[in-house]
Amino acid sequence: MNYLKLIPFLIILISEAKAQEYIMNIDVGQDTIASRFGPKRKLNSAFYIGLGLIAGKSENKPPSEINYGRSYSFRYGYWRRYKINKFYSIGGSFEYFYKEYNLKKNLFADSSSIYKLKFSKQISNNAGIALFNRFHFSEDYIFIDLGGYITYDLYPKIVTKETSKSSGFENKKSIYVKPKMINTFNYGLEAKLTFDFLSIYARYRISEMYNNYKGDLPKYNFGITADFEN
Amino acid sequence: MNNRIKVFIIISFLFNFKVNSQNLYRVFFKDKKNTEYNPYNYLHPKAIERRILNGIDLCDSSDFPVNNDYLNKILEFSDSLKGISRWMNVAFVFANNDKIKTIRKFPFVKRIEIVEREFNQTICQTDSSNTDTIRNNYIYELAKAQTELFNIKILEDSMLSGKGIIICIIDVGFKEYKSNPTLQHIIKRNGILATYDFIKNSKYKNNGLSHGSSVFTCIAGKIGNLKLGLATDANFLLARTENFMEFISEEENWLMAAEWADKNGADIINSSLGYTTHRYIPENMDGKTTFVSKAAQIASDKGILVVSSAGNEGQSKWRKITAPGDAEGVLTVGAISPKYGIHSNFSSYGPSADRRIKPEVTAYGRAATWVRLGFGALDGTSFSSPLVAGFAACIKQKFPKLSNYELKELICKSGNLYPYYDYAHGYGVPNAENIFNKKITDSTTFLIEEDSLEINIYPILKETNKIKPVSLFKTQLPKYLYYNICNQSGYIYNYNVVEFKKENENIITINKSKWKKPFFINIFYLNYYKQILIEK
Repeated sequence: MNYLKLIPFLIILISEAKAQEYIMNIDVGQDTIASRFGPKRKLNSAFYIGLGLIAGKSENKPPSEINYGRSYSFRYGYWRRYKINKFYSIGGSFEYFYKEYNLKKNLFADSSSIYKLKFSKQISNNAGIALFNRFHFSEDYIFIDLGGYITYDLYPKIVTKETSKSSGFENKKSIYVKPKMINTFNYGLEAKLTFDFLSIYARYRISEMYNNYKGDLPKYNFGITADFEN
Repeated sequence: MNNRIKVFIIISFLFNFKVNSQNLYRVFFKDKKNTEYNPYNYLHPKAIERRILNGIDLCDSSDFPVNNDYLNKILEFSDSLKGISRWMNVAFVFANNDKIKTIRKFPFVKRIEIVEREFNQTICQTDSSNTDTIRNNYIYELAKAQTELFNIKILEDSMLSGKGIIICIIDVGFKEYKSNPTLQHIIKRNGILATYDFIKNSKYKNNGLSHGSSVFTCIAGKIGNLKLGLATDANFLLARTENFMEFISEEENWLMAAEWADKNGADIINSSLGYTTHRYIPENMDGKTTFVSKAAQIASDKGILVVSSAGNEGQSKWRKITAPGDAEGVLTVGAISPKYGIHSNFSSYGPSADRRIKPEVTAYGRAATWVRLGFGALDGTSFSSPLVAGFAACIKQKFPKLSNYELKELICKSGNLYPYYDYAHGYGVPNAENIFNKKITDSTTFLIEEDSLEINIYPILKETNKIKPVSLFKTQLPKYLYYNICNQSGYIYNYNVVEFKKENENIITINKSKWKKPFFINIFYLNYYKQILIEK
């Protein structure tokens, strides 16, 4: 251990032995690194938010039927693209994707239930990734994206509110967390038309929403997203 | 309605605002047909004097006003007018997309540019240290040193303090400049000739920040007998062109302020502002691309010496000088550390994108100044630039017949490193002694040994060439050796600053194979300079 005490002295000796010190050494050739991106760099990545509606027909009506006006989706994420040439880029995104189906029927209600349904919502809180091909039009401000997405439902639940048929004012709220019947892993296709920072998107879910259940919720989701500049 | 939907709709409206709201456009006109101009009515007599001195035509087409009919026509289709520029024959208007499409079709419209909206900090100030009274020893010593660096004694002995020189300060605001104790000698003698706020389009009324007031102190501040800037007897024009965080580009304001300075007879403009990211990339720093650099170049061509800070991007990804410091006519000022006497880390590096020497000179990047509530030390090239602007005013007073380009050259040649230069220090700190007394150079200081692979350089400190050191803040001129490797056109490949630890073992070894031959090695050591040509 006593040898360790010598280390500071050794360091001093070594530094004293140096006859000169380069305080500044700048290689201008290496210093001047050309930018990889031009002034439109902001178009290469952005955060975005979006709101959408559910569309399409339910399978196995009526249990899977929804109120379309009250069913919606919300997205918040980040996309990035790599520009291959003037006309084409490839890119990807990751996002939080919230989806709420307002169901016309309580999936868990039996025929003998004394309660009248006020609402029943199937809510999914998805983490998702997407890959897309981007085709450029009009000087990098109009794009068409074609690609696919994968989502994983982190916290699926069905929230139901019912009222007593007899009294009319006795409410019952039920929350079914992570019901096994819901498929948490979903995937599908996406198309998007972008004008500068605003996009119109359409999604088609290929996967089934329910496990071991004959029926499915509407598979289409369309809406708008808006980019935040980085 | 669901709350989340409401929130989304509000956000959507905000985005929509961006699409439909008024953008700022630069509408350039093709000509100035049917316009009349009398320079004697429009220009200040000092401006006319400056033009004659610089051989500039008094009736130059760029001084003619913008055609009023054109202006009225586009105003019918735009929402408001932000301003106009005679120099560029342009109007700055707010309009929406539809209206601008109509304006674009007018036959007298040459082109239209949209002004990008970005939040961006443009002032070249990094940090401020503690504010304190001038009695504080550190601040006092720093205040003394920041002017001694230029050799204030010689200037004072020659009664040079910028008398008769008009300096325009373009800045982000001069808040409370009237109560700034270091400027009272100027205020009392009505040395502030005019003020204008280009954000508010009115006389300056204490808006914005106090950054400009601190900059002002570094040009001309005085407390008792202690000078914080060199041009204590100069006259001033104050132009506010910036918000602290830029929303709509204020480069237009900079142009209008420069025109206003020109019209009011300014000899020197100090600009401690830098335009960088979001709108531009480092490759745009060629002096010809950015709007503000074009404006600064026109101001230089009108005979005004534009002194600009190099920028504080030395440690950021940007690294390079900022606009308008890239313009050819602009004297760009980098920063050195008062403590070490070499480049301050934050100071932006040159060269310009088209490989011109930038920055040209340096001064302290930490300056003692007035900071609203008291004295303090502020960091940034914002404060190097006004120190040099004050020096330039004194030299202009001494040599009133010099054109702005000749003045700039003289200041560069007075640099403590001249004729050596690099892209961190330029020619070094301007020094009055080098202007009034011929600078001594002695190449025999260096002993050269050369073989086919290497070249060894021994700087020898002879008894006869021991120089009187220039006073630096709490230190002496550091015994650094500066050397660079450059090609025949002067473009530097590599530059270095070396500190010798032992006087008897001073040696620099350069590998000759590393650089494309022929190349030059330029060495500077304790006021001595040598250039060595390495041929094939």
